Amino acid sequence: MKIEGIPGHPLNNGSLCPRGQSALQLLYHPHRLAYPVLNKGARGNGSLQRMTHEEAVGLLAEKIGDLVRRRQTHRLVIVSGSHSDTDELILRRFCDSVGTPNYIKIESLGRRSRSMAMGLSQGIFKPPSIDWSNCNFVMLFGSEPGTSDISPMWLLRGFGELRQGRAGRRAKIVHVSTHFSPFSSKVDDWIKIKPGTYGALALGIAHIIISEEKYDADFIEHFTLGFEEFKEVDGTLRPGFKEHVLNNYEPAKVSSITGVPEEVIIRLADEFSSNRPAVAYGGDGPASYSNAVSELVAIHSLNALIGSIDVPGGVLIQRDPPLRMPERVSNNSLFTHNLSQPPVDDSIRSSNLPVYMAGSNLPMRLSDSSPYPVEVLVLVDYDPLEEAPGPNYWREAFKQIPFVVSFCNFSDESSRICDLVIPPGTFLERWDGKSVDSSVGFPVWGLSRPVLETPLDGMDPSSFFMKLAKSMGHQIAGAFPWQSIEELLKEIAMDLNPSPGQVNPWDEIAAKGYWSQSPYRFGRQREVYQTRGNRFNFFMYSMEAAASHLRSAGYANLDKTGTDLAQSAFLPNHNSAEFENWDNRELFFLELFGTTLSGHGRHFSLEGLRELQELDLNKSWGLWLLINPRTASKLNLSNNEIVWVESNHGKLSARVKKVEGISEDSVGMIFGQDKGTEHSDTLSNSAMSLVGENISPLGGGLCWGTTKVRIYRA
Amino acid sequence: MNNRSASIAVAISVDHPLVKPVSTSGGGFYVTAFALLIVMGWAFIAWLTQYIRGLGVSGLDRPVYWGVYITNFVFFVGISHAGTLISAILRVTGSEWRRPITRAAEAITVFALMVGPINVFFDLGRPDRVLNMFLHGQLKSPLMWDVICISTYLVSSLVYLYLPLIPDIAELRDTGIRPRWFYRLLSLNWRGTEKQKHILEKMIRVMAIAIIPIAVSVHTVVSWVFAMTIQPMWHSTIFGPYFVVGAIFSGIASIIIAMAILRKVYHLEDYLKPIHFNNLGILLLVMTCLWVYFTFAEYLTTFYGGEPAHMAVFYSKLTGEFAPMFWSMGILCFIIPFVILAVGRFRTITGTVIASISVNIGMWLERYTIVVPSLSNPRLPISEITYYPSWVEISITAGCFAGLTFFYVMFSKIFPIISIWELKEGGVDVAAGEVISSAATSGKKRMQ
Amino acid sequence: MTRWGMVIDLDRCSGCQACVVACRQENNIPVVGREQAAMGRAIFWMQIIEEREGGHNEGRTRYLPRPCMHCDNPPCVKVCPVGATYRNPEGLVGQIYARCIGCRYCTAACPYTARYFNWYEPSWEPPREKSLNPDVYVRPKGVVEKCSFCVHRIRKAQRKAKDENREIEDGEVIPACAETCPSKAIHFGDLDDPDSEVSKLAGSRRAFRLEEFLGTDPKVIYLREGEWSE
Repeated sequence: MKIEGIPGHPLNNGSLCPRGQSALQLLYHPHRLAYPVLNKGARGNGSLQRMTHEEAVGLLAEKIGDLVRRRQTHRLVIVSGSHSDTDELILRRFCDSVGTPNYIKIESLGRRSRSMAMGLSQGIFKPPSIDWSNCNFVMLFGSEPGTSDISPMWLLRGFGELRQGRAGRRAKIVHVSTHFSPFSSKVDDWIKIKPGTYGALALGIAHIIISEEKYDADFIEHFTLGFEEFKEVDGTLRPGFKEHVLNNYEPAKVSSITGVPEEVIIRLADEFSSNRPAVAYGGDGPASYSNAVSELVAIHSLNALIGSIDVPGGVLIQRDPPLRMPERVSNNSLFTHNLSQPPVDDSIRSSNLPVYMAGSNLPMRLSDSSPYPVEVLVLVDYDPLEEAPGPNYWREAFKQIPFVVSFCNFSDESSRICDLVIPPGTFLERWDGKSVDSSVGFPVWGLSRPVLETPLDGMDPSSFFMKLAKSMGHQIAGAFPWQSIEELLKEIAMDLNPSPGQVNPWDEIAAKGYWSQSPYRFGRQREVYQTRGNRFNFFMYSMEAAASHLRSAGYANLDKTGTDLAQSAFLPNHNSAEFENWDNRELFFLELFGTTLSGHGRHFSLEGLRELQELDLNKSWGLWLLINPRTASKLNLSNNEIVWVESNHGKLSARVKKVEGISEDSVGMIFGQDKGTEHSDTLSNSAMSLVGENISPLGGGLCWGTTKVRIYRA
Repeated sequence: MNNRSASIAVAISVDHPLVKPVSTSGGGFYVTAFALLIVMGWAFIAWLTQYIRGLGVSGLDRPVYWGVYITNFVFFVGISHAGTLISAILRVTGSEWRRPITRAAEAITVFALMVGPINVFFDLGRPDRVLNMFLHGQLKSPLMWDVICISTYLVSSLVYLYLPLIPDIAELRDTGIRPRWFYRLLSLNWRGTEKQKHILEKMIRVMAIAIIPIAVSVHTVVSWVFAMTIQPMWHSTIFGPYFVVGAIFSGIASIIIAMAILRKVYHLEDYLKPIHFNNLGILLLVMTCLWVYFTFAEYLTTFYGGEPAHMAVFYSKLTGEFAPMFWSMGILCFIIPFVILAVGRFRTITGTVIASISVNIGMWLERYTIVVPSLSNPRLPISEITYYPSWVEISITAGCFAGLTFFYVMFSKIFPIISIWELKEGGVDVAAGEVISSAATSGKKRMQ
Repeated sequence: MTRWGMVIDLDRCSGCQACVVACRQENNIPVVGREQAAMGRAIFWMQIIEEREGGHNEGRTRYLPRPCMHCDNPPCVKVCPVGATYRNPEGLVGQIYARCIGCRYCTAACPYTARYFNWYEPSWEPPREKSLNPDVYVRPKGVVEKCSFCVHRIRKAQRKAKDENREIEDGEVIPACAETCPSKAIHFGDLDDPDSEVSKLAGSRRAFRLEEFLGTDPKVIYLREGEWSE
């Protein structure tokens, strides 16, 4: 048995990243759960009762049916970390039809901020795509191709293409980051930067480009809004990006903020503007700080400055395939009233407002029973005790909720203290349809189907909830008219036009495994800029709208002060990042990063991956703390020694590994290391447990880079 | 001299100090033998564990694929050079003072040669397939050269040990020590006739000459196991002579230790005299100097060339992970023996024994610091693995030392550890139990 | 005669380790676990190795995927006492698991440390054995193993070509590492065919081989990182 990429697939063309390669280990893992398990008695140490999926459906139907009888359906919360588009569709639909506003999607780290940056400037709420094969100069701001959760395959492919994919043309790759990683050794130019200052560097570069007039005047005139100062019809004066940058981001100042020498800023600006098409791309690095969105906006504004949007070699917008998605059922909900209750995560979700505002700490609110007590919590492919910041709040929340269900293939930290555990099987055992994430630009729809018969066939969350809905009758069953997920996918794919010579799109997709429509179509301004004036918004109207909406809804303003923001706040800005300086003793920045093996740590419990040497460490297995050799000698620590890493949210023990690339004021840890290892009830092995639930005020993404830690010998 | 040969015919009594260890055994022997058997038994359990579970029970790893077993192999094969070279060279050059020590030395050779190569067997991942060495043997592999040279050496050493034993076995047969059939069988009907003596002495002479190149070849090819590879600080042209010198060095030290113990335990003070220790001590001093010369030449050449891959190994020994072992080796193999042996008044029995113990520990460390550091610092990739021997390797090593001692003790209980007839040949009135001629120590008289 | 060789373009390689995972999956390499891995006993036919040029503080670190070099003058083959490792006419350095006595002379002699040893009997906790590749032998304890250039794939392609009564085409044989490489850094083919992709790449000015001065004549050719100029 082996998994291979699909030759000719626009995204992977037969290749696979290390995590994709390891999927078989998931399928044939000896510790996989084979059937649902009900915990009778006290959670964590009650007796376990094995049951069939049908019985599990019945049990959950009973629990939710009880809420229906009591008209308290909003007390059902589904938190999903599933990557499946089909799960997203079915689970949301289920919540809508039952009448609960509490379908909460856990997105991969950084994704929300990266989408938000594009949303504010271009009105497209998706991370950017890049036309690698035509690009000549790439500035990666805290982004490493292999570690990203967003299409690592496409990024890695781009990496090869840029350099040796084109005869006689070799692009330059600049990597700006806070620590020197193995990837940094692979690029042409590595620039070290202080934590939380990526945006300042971008605006410093913008300053040089503007002052030396190396920007693309033609593009700025036709495709952007707010470069120069302008007046609204009502007479409001809007500040211009040009003056703003020239006044506030002179190189000397930027250099002192970022630690990047002035001459390097000047050089980067020269190279970036004179080697077009060039692209600036922000990744996990800037997304991890409290100023994530504004930093990412500042980085993206460089692309607008030199006209690298919607042109060959520039930033593209990932087009969606023309899927025939079923209509939403929100107007046909069992309890429309319940559906409009405030969601438990206190988020503001507005379809006409490009802002997702996650108010406060979800687990804290769950444990406080605010604004109302939750009675049934369903976790789908999500292990908050390992993956979420502040796992202790989650432990507390679990205690307050009478019935907790977890869909997971392995007994994980969270499922150990759940009432019902249901194994949903792997992606190799189910039907799923997926539009590609931001990558190639042109639309691609991938179809996956069960590749082999296992007892878990058709036990995926989508099938499960469809069965559940059907068993509940009312409008709920009515919202799911399909016989199977396969039938639903067939309907969704109805409008995908077949390639020339083919008649039936479905048969073709089923045979090939994907549908695509290349090439990318350039020059569709209305598709690319879905903003005011269908232009790139240097002046971000939607941000202004969001700020006033938040204020009127009684929330703190974007800067948390509640005061009116200056007009210039709606231009790309660098706001200094906030860090948790919780102790008077010496604290270090905690750099929590992913590697090509770990990704964001979600499936890092696979032995086959953990046995590989992390190149950052030259070590495999275990939980490691990367520390600069000089810091280590100052703290009198040697390699392999066990130390405590303590933040104001928790502490854990890790082994010391001296790494030259980590700066002296920081320590590093890798996502998900030692995931799945048994450990005590109160002490987590997950580096995430050190992170607080710091939500970016704009965008609602988790800022995992704000943590500072103390290091001491265990 | 000829007038002395008549005395050979006179049988010596069972209570004679040279025969007593064979004829009677006291409690000390049983306790010693039992203790050694326990250690060997424990080592066998360790080996069984390794055989059943796999070499994983050792501390070996990647890149340190070879460790204590190979160190033992080189060390014991080195010790085996004791006998042959001492007795053969001294015999060929007619050094009279050799007479009481040749057999003790030759016995070390034979048993060290049994214990040494078995370590290679311990080191095999598939001991069950050891016969592949013969079924599919590849002559281009230095390991096969070892197999050939060592087995040749073992056979010739056995012959060389046996030939001078024949007259003494006949002596034991004549004294009536049991089991009689055993001695009768092994004595090959030796009557001590002139013809027999002529044949025997001729054979001994031929063997003495033939065994020298064989012995030199053995430790040369052992060194070539390493030197023929292109690994840093293994790939060296002086490894052949360097290893041979080290082998003789540790061999002489082993004889001194064995002699001192035999002298004490079997009350052989009349035969093993300070002069023997003094003379062997001088030989050891020469070897110390030769050894340090080779070591210096080897390390200076490496250092002066300064190739990075070699320097990584070099510094791991001089200043790094292996520095404690390396410098201990320097002190034990040179400083201590040199100081003791160079000063005449320290060259006593105690002095030479201390020097010899020091040399043997030092030489084991030398073998270790040749085998392990090169593997610990491969050309590629950077390795951060440190090798520590496991309990299995330590047990088996202890078992090897116990085994060597056990076989040696057993040998001394079955055969006279001092060649009686050669002493007589040398002009010692053995039957009288006293030395009537200074010939035994003069070193001036030649055999016949 | 075919002479199989591999070209690894370091300018394309991002160090993502997909090749390592693919190789382990393809060649049934067992997981040895935390303790054994800490002792350096994990097996990687393909491994990303770190090479530091100059002093340790100069930061010139290079990461190279390292399969077996399949040397034309292999130091391992010379020293094997039982002929369990050999160089075949196609230039492949093979290993006969059933004959190997586990003396580890070859592992000690290989200047690339590309050979690995099975310290224990490898095991696959059920149902892991279902993920084994039926085309590749599982090795017993006590023997040495290493990258085979996916010889089973070579043979498969050769059989197919023979059945179809044609010569094997350039690019028809793709080892698991090359197949999975997301940035297409690994190329494989016949070095004796002047028109093959690997031959052409091997002629590049960027080409070099590991420890070339040792005279092992490796058939894995690296292309060094390119230089960017405006």
